[in-house]
Amino acid sequence: MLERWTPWIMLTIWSSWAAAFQGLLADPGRMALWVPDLSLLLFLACAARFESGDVTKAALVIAFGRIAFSVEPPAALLVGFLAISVLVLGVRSVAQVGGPFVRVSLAVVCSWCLGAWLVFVHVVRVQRLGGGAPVELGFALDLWRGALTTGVVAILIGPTLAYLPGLTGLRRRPW
Amino acid sequence: MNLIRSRTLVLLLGLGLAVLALRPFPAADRFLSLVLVPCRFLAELSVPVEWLQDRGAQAAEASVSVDFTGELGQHASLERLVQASAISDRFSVPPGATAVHGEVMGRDTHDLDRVRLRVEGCRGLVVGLPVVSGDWFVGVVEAVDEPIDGTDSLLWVRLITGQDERIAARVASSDDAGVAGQAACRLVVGGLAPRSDKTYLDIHNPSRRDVHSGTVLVDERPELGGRYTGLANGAWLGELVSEKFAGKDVLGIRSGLNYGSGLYQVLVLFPDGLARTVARDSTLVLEDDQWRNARRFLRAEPSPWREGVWISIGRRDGVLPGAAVVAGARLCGRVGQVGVLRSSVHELGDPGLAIAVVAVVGSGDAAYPFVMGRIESQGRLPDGRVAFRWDASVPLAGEAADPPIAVQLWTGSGEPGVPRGLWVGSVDLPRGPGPHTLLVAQPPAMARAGTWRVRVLSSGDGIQVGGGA
Repeated sequence: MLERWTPWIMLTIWSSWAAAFQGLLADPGRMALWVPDLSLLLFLACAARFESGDVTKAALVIAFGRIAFSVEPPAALLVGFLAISVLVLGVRSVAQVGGPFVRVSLAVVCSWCLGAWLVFVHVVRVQRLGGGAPVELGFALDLWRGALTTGVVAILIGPTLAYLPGLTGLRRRPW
Repeated sequence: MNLIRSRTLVLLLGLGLAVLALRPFPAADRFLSLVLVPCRFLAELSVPVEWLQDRGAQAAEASVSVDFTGELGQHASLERLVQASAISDRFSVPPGATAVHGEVMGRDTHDLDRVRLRVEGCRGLVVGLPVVSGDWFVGVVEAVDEPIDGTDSLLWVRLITGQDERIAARVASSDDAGVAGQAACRLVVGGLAPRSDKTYLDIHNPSRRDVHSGTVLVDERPELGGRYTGLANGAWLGELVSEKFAGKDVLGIRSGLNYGSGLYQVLVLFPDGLARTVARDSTLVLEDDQWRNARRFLRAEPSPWREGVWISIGRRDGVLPGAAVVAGARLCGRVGQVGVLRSSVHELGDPGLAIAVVAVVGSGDAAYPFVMGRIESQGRLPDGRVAFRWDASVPLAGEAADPPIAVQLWTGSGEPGVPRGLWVGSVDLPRGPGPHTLLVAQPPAMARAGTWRVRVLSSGDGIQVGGGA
C-alpha cells in the first residue's frame, strides 16, 4: 500500500516545490516573463517515463501542486494540464516524447498554450464581473519568452526531472 | 474498453472544468475548494523553497514597521472629510426635517439602479424618503430591511437613474430669470437620456420647449408627488444641456454626481419625529472587531503577470470573496477564492483588481475628498508602481493640458467587504475627461510589511460581491 502511494505523494511534493520555485523566480520584475514553466517541465519528464495510464494522473497531481500557490482559478489549471496530458498521450502514440526534438517542441507549445489559456480565462472572468479588459488578449503573444526559456531548459535538464528522489515506483523500465 | 471509458471520462471532466473555469458556479466552486483542502498543507511544506527566497527582500519586509498610529490619524481625518462631503453648501435641509448620514454598502448585482445603504444610529426610516449627497439628489428609499445591531438601518435606495424613476423639477438659472414674465420651466426628470454613453439624466414633459440650459433642481409638489420627496426640494439634479447626438438634438441633464461608482456618503431626509436617532459609540472602521489576522504563505505566484498570495484563513473564519486585506491602514489587496482553510489574495498589482477610490485634494482646511469612482488595475510596472485605468466619468476640474496634482488615494465606499479610508497609494492625478492611466506609487516592500488583516463578514454585508477581485 505504502509502496503504491509513496511515489504519488513525492510527486505531489516535488510539483508543489517546482511551482513555488517558479513563483519565486517570477516575482514581479523585468525578467518575470522569461521564467520557464517548471511544473510543465516536470510533467513532460514524467510523461516520457511513466506508464500511459499514469500520465493523466500525473497531470492532475502536478496541477494540484501548482494550485497550492497560484491565484489562477483551480478549474482553469486542472483543465490546462488535462489538455496537455491528452496532447502528450496523442504524441506519445506516434513519437518518442523523451526525444530532444519532440520534448523541446512540446515544452514550447504547451508552455505558450497554457499561459494563453490562463490569460483568456482571466480576461473572460473579469469581463463577466463588469470590469474592462485587465490585459489585452494580445498580451498572450508576449508569453513566447517564457515558452522559449521552457524549451531551452527542456534541452538542458529534460527527462532528469523524472529521476527525482521518490519517483522510482512510477517510472517504467527503459526500452 | 477500459481505455475508451477512461478517455471519455477525461474528456467529460475536461469539458466540465473548462466551463467552470470560464463561468464559475458557486456550488461547483465550493465543491472544488473542498477537494483542494490539502493544498493548504502543500503550501505549508514549501519551507525549503522559502529558504531560497531573496534574503534581501525578506530583511526589507521584516524591517519595515507599519506606523499604524500615524496611518490611523490620517484615516480618521479622511473619515471627517468624507462625512462632511455629504453635507451641501448649496442645498439646505428644510425646516421641520432631519438628515442622517448613510453609507453606500453596495449595489444590487441584478439591478444597477438600486444601492444598499447602511444608516448608523437611526431607526424608523420608511419607504419613500428622499436621499441626497452633497448638493445632489440621489433617489428615494425603496425598501427598509430589518434593523441590525439594534441601532443601524439597512435600506435599498432606488436611484434617479432607474428607468421608471421620476421626480418633478424646475430649471433655475440666470438666463431664465432674465426673461421677464416667463414662467419657470418645469419638467419631470428620471432615467437616462437615450444616448449610447448613458451619462445624462433624461427629461420628460418640459413645460417650455425654448429652455436649453440652466441648473435643474428638485421641485416636488406635496399634493402631486410622493409624501416625502418634497423634503429634497432645491437639491441639484444637474445642468440642462442640449447636444447633437446621432444627428438629433438631445436634451439631457449632466449631473455632477457619478451614479455609477461615485456614491459613498449620502444623507437620508425625514420629517422630524418620524425616525429615532440613537446615540452610539463612533468606532473607526480600522478599529472595529470585524478584522482577522492572517498569516501569509510563501509569495510564489507561478504566472508571471499575476500578483497574489494565499493566506491562512478561509470560509470557516468568515472570509468572503472581495474582502479587503490590509496592513496597518494600507490596502494590500482583495480576497479572491475562499476555501475552507485558506483564501487567495489578489494584490493591487494583479490585473483586473478593481476598487472604488477617493482622492484627498488640497491640504489643511482647504482639503476636500474627490470621489473618483472605480479604478481597475492593469498590472505592476517594472519600477514598482501599479497602473490603474480610471474612466473619469466625473473628471477633476480643469483642462486636460493643466498639470496633474499630487494626491493620496484612499478606498471609497460602495464595495462590500472594502471599507472606506484604506490607503491605496499616491498618484499624480490628471485633469480633464478620461479615460486616464494612473500610476500609483505603492512601494512593494511597504505593501507586504506587517501583519495582514482581513475584513470578515458582518451583518448587512451579506450581499454578493461584485466584480474586481
